[in-house]
Amino acid sequence: MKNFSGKLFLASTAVSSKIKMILFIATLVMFVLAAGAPQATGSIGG
Amino acid sequence: MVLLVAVCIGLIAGFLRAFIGRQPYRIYDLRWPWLVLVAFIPQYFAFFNLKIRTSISNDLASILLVSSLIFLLAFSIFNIHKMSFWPIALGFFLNFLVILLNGGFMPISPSTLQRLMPGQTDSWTIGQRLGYGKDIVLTPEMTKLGFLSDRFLLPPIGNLHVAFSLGDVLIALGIIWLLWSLGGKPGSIKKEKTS
Repeated sequence: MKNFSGKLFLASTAVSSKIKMILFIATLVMFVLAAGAPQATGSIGG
Repeated sequence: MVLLVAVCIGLIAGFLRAFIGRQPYRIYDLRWPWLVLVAFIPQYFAFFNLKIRTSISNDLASILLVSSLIFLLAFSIFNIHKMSFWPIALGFFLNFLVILLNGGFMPISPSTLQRLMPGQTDSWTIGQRLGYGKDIVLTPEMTKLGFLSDRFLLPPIGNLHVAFSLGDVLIALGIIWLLWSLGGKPGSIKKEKTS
């Protein structure tokens, strides 16, 4: 039981660190898209 | 979408650096990240959503742009403690300043447009917003702080033509530096954080 909960803890830590990384990158992507103002033709938006 | 290329370059460089140095890619906690989401949502509808942006008036689009930039300004101030965030924040501030001083849109000159879209002079009018983007067509005489406007051009890549500002350059360089620095040794990240 102790071993199982240990594995569960490790798995949840790994998942949460991946989620944190995805949120971090998503935040930076949104910031860059919102803060930048390049004008592009032949593609969508800036 | 050219700034997304900078994100990809930074991520690849950072992950490669971490892989070569046999260390984990270390992200850090951004302060008040929800401000970015609050700022991005109105811009998504005003500039990126192909269906909704056509039904938003130019006045409303400029109001949404400036108000969302105010949220980004707050986010930048809260996160200025990290050195590699400085060029991003400075680039954003320069874009914000020139947008604010030119009626709520990023100015672009007719001469830049002629090089960007040769032979398409009927698709834009001086003094009007350019399509559904963040730009407004202004002559140099009408433009305040013209050196901060969309005045640089990338060589055309296929069908893609891009004009960008000094602020965009700083944002792109800053994001590459920031994402690359996260692949470094923990000591160097901590050192950078405290400076």
